[in-house]
Amino acid sequence: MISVTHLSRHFRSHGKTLVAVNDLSFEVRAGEVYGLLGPNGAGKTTTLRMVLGLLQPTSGDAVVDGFHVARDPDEVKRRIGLVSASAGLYQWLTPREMLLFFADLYGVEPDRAERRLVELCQILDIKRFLDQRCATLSTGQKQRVTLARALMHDPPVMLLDEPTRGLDVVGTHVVFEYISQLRSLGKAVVVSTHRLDEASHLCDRMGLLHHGHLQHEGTFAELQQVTGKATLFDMFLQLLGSPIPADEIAREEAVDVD
Amino acid sequence: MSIDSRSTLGIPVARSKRWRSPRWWRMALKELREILRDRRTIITLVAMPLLIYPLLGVTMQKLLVTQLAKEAKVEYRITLERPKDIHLFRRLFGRGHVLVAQREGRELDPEQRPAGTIEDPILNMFASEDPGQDVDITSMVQNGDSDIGLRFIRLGDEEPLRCEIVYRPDSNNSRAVRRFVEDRFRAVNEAFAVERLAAQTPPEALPVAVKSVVLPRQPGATDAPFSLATLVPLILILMTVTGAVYPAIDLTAGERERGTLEALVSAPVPRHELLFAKYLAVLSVAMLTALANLFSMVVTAYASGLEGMLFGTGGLSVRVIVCTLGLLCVFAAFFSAVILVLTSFARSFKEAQAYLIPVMLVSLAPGIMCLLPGIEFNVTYAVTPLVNIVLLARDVFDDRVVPIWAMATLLSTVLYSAVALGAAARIFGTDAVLYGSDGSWSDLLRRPDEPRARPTLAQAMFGLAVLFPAFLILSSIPARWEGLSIAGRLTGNSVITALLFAGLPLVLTSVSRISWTTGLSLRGASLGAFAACAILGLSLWPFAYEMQVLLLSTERLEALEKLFAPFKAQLDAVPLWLKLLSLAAVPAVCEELFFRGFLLSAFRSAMSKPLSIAFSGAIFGLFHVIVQQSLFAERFVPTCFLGLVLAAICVRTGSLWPGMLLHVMHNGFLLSLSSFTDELKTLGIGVESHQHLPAMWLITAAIAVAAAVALLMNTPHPRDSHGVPKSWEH
Repeated sequence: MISVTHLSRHFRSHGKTLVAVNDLSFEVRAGEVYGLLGPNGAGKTTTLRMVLGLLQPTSGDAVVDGFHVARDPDEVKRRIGLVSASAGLYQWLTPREMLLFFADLYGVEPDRAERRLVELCQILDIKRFLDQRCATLSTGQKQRVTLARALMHDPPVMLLDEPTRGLDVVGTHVVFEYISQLRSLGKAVVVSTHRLDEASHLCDRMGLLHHGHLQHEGTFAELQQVTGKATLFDMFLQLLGSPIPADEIAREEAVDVD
Repeated sequence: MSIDSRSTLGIPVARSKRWRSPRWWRMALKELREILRDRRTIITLVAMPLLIYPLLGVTMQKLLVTQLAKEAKVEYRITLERPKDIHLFRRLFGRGHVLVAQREGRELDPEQRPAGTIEDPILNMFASEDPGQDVDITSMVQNGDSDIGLRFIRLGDEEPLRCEIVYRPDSNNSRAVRRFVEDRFRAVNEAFAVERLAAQTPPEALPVAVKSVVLPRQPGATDAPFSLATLVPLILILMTVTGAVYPAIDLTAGERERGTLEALVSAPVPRHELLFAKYLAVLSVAMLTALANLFSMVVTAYASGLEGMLFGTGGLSVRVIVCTLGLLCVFAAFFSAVILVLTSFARSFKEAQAYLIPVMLVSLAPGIMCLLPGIEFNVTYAVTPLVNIVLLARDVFDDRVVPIWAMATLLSTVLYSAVALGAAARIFGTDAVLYGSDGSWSDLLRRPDEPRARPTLAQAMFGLAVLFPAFLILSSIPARWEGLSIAGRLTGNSVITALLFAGLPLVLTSVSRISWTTGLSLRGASLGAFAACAILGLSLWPFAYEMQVLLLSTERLEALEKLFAPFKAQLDAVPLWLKLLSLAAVPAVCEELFFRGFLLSAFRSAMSKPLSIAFSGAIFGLFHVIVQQSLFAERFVPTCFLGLVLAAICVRTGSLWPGMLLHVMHNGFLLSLSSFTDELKTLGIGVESHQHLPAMWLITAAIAVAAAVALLMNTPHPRDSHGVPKSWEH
């Protein structure tokens, strides 16, 4: 469903070229949850943005459901639902108005959009604040609405960038449970998260990113075998201890490339 | 928890199954809904105008009342030393006053009491009530009880009468009334001297008899340092700008700051459509602000009786209100596009404000310049943004709109708006703005990495926005080269035409890496196409001629003849080949490159064949309506017709060359006809005499046209580089 091949992205800052993502290749099949894991500045968000076509890759390509992101960006966008940690809501609109607006942007017809809204209300428990102004919602409620927004057009591919940031325990549980449901529906899901404990249970396969490189990839068991570490946390510590190339030291301060 | 749930959960389901309005409209409505729910917008939109204008109205009314009160009290106090001299003073002064009024060309009603104006002040005379008691005029003036004091001295019956005027040099009123009385006495003395000299034998006269010729006052002329009729549009424009600024920032930079922009550009909607919806919302709020301001201003002006002063010589009328609203709409369209360019580039609300404040201050300068007296429309002002709108609004108020400047103003403003909108669409939502990656204003001018087949609509708008003002300004230059021969001027004209109509498209396409073969249709065509166009070049002119005869009235023909009269005699002396080259071939070749090469090609990249042909034909017609900085609307139909034919041929053949041949031949034929006017007149043919061509000529031409069309239809369809026939597109 998702095929990323030799994807690279360089940024220029203060006359220096900074490598955010370097020759990254991975595949995600339908019905699979792929965890993109790595410390801050590893290039997780940049990768997701390139897959969606929001950032132009310096080189390489991403194919979603048979469509090349460079050639058919709209077809790719149509097939992806994005949940970003930095996403906001329209303060003066209600969740209902906002969700129907996004359904319209994705070409969902009004009656289907209404049905979809009903479904998502039940799944994400957003009905009680559906007609309340978004500005008045709590962080957890906002995150649920953001999740609903990405699901309104029922995409076959979900890109989730820190989907549980700011959520309480119950909210996090709802999100992870829903991700499991997405898998059972045959959707391809890419999750970038810091919740390593949940990721090890939730993700079918994982890619450990560091300095834009895919250091290790595989199932949890495979990663344990390759790294010789028992937990993802230990694997992370091992990653953080690996040397940083001299030309990339200033990257985190210079550009938001996480 | 189940994803396949079909429960309605009490949520109402929309009745309609499909959207009935276009998506960009629905998007614009959503943006509007969001903006109008924000109380800050409502404050700018409604509360400000409702508060400001009544306050301004009351202040202005107070000022006027004070001013009128001051003017009504032009009153001079004169004290006579001796009471018996009062009749003498009245007689002398009265005569002098009439003489001065005559000299100044003013009518004076002797029956009427002085009005209390500067010209006719109220004179209050004082003298002692006791006929035998004199008044101490010196102390009266010294104490400020009187402006001046008058003392008549008669030393003897044979001696001349003397009058002493006592005044205070440190008092404005005292100085003014002294000058006022002295002028009248001097006029009496002068009249006496003239009479005396005339009574001499032989009669004599003063060395120089001075007489002023007073011209009647021009309607609308004012001695005021600036016209309030200019201030009103400027205020309205500023208020409109204020209304547009907040939504423009909120919908672009604000959206980026709140984190909703990423979700928006993640949707499969073209960025230009997203931006267009935002543009419509900003424009709507700007227009709502303009409407609220105009309404409040009109009501205030009407209620306070200031409408005559604020709305020009014609006062307040439906025409003025509608025209003002129309102009504000054009201005709002322009300014909304310009500020969207800036706010689209900003990454935060603060950054957007930092960009906008200097722009708003700079845009004030031309507006204030228009307040200066004596500023009249010229080519430069007509194509200068903001200046042109303020001047046009002022002319609307004064009911003296010049069509050419109105058209130049409207057209240039629309073109600038389109260019700004194109630039905004290019910036909006780019990763440079969205994520702060490497990018800057220079990206707008960056050459694309890949070669392209056709120019974009935005590039076409940019080309037009550069060409139109440049054409207006440069085409007036050769006429000013008085020292140059007519041949030199024709050459100069050709160079300007080549630079504008050929140079511009060639440069634009080269810079944008657009292939000349596809982007300017500079590809080969079949012999049949050339043959068909040659026939059309020879057979279309009778129809152009007939259109001119039908559309041009005698008065308009006279106006055209008058316009070209200075050149006609000189043109006759120019050899025909030079005329054909400079007036037929060069314009035809160059215009083809721009209108059918560049413009039509750009239109084809964004719209269907019929629409592209229609737009390029209409723009071609519009350019030909401007003749020597005058408007000749009658030329639109024949030139638009020719533009449509040429565009259709270019689309059909896929090549510019056959149409170019047609255009050169058509121009050449019409020009040759004008060189043989006398010979044609003997045949009864001449536009001036409003005579139609013989029916046989028209029938022959129609048959030739039909044959050419048939030939064209049988030429092979053009193929693009991939071998796909062009006609399959759209």
